[in-house]
Amino acid sequence: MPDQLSPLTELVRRTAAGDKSAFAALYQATAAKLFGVALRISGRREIAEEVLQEAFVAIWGRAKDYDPVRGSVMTWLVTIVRHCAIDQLRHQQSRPEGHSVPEELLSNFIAIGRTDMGVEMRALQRCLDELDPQPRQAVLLAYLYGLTRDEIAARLAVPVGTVKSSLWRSLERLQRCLDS
Amino acid sequence: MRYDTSQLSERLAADYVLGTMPRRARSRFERVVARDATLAARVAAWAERLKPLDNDTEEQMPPARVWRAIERQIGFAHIPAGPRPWFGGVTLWRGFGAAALAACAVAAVCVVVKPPALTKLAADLADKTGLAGWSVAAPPHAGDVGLSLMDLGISTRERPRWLRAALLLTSEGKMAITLEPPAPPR
Repeated sequence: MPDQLSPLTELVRRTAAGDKSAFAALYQATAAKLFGVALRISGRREIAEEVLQEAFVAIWGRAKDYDPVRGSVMTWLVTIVRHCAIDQLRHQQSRPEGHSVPEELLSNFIAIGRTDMGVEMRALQRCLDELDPQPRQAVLLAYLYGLTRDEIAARLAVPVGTVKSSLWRSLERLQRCLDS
Repeated sequence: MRYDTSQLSERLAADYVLGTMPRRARSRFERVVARDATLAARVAAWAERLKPLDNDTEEQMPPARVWRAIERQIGFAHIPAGPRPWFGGVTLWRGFGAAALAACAVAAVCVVVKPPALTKLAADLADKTGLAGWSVAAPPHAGDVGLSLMDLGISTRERPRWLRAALLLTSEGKMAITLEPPAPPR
C-alpha cells in the first residue's frame, strides 16, 4: 500500500528529512516494543539499553534508506534492533552470565494447540509444527535469542554443517507452508 | 547442491533476517540490498513471515536515560554548544512521583533568560530515580509556543493519565514550566 502512508511511515519519512520531533515521536511509538526485543536477545537491561540507543542512532542515520514498498516500518525497525543486539552478543564473545534461553518461552512455540494467538501467529505456528523438533528449535533459537550457528550446534549437540543445512531446509519448508 | 541466483538470494535474505549471517557478510549484503529491489523485497518478505515470533515478547518502555543518550549522540541534545549552559536553572531534578504530583496544584515553575543564539529551549524533568521523566522542548521565539512534551521511561500502565504540563515562553524570553494535576474526577 505505497499510497496510504501509515503514521509510522510518515514519521520515518519526516525523520529522513531531519525532523527531530518526528524522530522523537517514532521513538515514543516504538521504543517499548523494540526494547522488549532487545531485552529478549541481550538478557540484561543495561545491554538492552545500549542496543536500543545504538539502534536508534542507526535509524536516524538510515531513515533515508527506508522504502515503504519494501515492508512495514515495524519489521524494518525490529530487524535493525535484532541485528544490533546480535552484534552486541557476538562482541562480548559469550552470553552474559545468567542469560539462559527461557525454555518456557521456547516451548510456547512448540506447544501445539495454543489458543492465545493471532491469525498471523496461528499460520506460522501451524507451519512450525510441521518441522521436526530439532530444526524447529534451531530456527527459534536463532530468531528469538540471536544464537549463532556454532552456539546452536553446541546446544543441540550436532555438527555446525548440519545446523547450516537444516536451518535452510526448515526455512524453505516454512516459506512453502506460509506462502501456500 | 546447486543454487540458481534466485535460490541463493532467497537463502541469503532468510539468513539475514534470521540473524545467522556473520556481521561482515551482513554489511556487504545490506549494500547490495540497497541497490537491488528484488532482493530487498525478499528480505521484507522474510521479515514479515517471521515477525509473529515477536508477538509474545513483552513490551517494556526503556528508561528515560536511553532517549537522552540518543539525543546526545545524534547531536541534538539539550545542551547547546556555547561557553555556558544556559539552562542550568531549568533542569529540574525534582522528585515528583505520582503521589507528590497529586498533592500539589502547581508543581514547578522555573524561569531563565534566553541567550541570543538558541535553536531550542528544552528541559529534562525527572523523578529521583531517573527512571521516569519527561522531556519538554519548544522553539526559542517569544510568545505562545507549541508544547512538545515527551514522556520517557514510563510504561503506559504507570503513566499518570491526569498529568497536565504546560511550557510557556514569555515575551521577555523566559521559559516557564508548570505541572498541574487534572480536574477532580466527577
